[in-house]
Amino acid sequence: MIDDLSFEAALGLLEDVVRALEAGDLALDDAIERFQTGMQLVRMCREKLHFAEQKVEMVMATENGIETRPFEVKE
Amino acid sequence: MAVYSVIEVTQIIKQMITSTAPLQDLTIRGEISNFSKPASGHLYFTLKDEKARLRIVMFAGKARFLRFRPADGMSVVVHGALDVFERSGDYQLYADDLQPDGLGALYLAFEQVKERLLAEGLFDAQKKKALPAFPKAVALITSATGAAVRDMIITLRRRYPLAHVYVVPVAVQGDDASKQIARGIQVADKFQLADVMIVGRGGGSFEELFSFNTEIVARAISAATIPVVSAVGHETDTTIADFVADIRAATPTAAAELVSPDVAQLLQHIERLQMRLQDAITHQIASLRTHVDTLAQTRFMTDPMRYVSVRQERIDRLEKHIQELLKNEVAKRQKTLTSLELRFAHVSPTRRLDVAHVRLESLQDRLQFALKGTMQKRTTALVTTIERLELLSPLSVMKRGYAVIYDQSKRVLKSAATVQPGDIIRVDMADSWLDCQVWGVYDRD
Repeated sequence: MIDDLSFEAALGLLEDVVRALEAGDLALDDAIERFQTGMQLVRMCREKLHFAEQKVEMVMATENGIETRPFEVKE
Repeated sequence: MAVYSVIEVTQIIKQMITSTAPLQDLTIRGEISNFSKPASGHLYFTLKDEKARLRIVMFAGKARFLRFRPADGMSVVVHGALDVFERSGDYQLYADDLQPDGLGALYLAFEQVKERLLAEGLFDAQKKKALPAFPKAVALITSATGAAVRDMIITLRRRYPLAHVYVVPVAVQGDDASKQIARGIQVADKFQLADVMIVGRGGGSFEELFSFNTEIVARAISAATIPVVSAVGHETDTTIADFVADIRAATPTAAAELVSPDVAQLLQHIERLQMRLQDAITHQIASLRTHVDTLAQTRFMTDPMRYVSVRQERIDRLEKHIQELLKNEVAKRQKTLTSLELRFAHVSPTRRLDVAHVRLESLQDRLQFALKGTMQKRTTALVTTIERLELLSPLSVMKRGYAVIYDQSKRVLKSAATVQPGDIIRVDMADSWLDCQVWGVYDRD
């Protein structure tokens, strides 16, 4: 379930988990479970950022729509 | 009549000039003459037309942004505020903007379009759309060549490579530019290419940037449903696109930074979240552990019997209490009972009963006595009558051998008159009776 989350959703969920844990009114088992989910989300967010590959495309308008072509830019 | 000093007069004049609003927001056209720019970087020149001249000062702070080199003979448009320079006693304009006059027409167009669109509410603040915090895609409506697009792409790659970048190549100056820019915006919006759009270009003169002041571009930006960031020229360049866009960025690179979260900061943020996560869980576990420990130390756990004895004591006390209550209750009831008895006795029938009882007994005695008396009298009378009876009674006579004769109809025969021989008669004797038949009947003569 967690793996197909977008980065934004994952980060939002992580923040919710942290707030819930900090509220401190969770039962122990529930807190531990949330903690594990939280750590999974941390790993996932980090990975998404580390391995992100920027994709750049040029957009050409044609009669019936648009076409895209890779757009190279050297650093 | 009052006599003023020079400074007093000058101050009155200065006060009058600085307090008249229009003189503080002046745009003047004229020709530059005796222009000088000392090392300080300040600009000093005179602005003249056919009939008059005006001293102009432009301090280095403002002059630094000029993109053209003012020179004598150039016709320019100056904007600034009028003031008096006491020492020399002359008034001069302190300039904050200076443009080649060739731009006069363009300025005019700029102002007019600006007024019209302002009136239509295209610049209204509440229309501004917020930028997405984490854009999945960013569209760049700019020239495909040149530094601007390159800087933006590199900035986006450095800060937030997750975002997909779409370049919508358009001309950014020249006659066809405004149409292409507007078209580019519409294409990006129609096909919802991205979550946010940057419309802009690198630095340039007022004319070069002018396509971003056109109504067609302004309306395209305003109509876009995707948030638009305008990034035209440098910090000091303001175009109508900036007024209409949802957010104005000083430069294309700044726009790229505006639309993208910075990966480095994100990683730090995630780092902090992880720390808070760990702190929270360790804190919770620690506090639970101490809680458990304190519970273990409570007197109840360490010396449970004391807890029991305390309870025992309480039970004993309660028991005693109950007994007392009971005793009082019984005593109270007893008291009420006795008082009732007293009252009862006072009104109760037993006394009369006893009295009646006593009378009853005495009556009974007298009754018995009387009974006995009458009984005796009766019995004696009976006895005497019995004795008399016995005397008279045939039985005693019969004892002496006499008998009583009965005819067939059980009548006592006193004489034989009625008797016939053959009659059946019954002879009763003292102790028995005979069933006889008469043989003869004889008179006694």
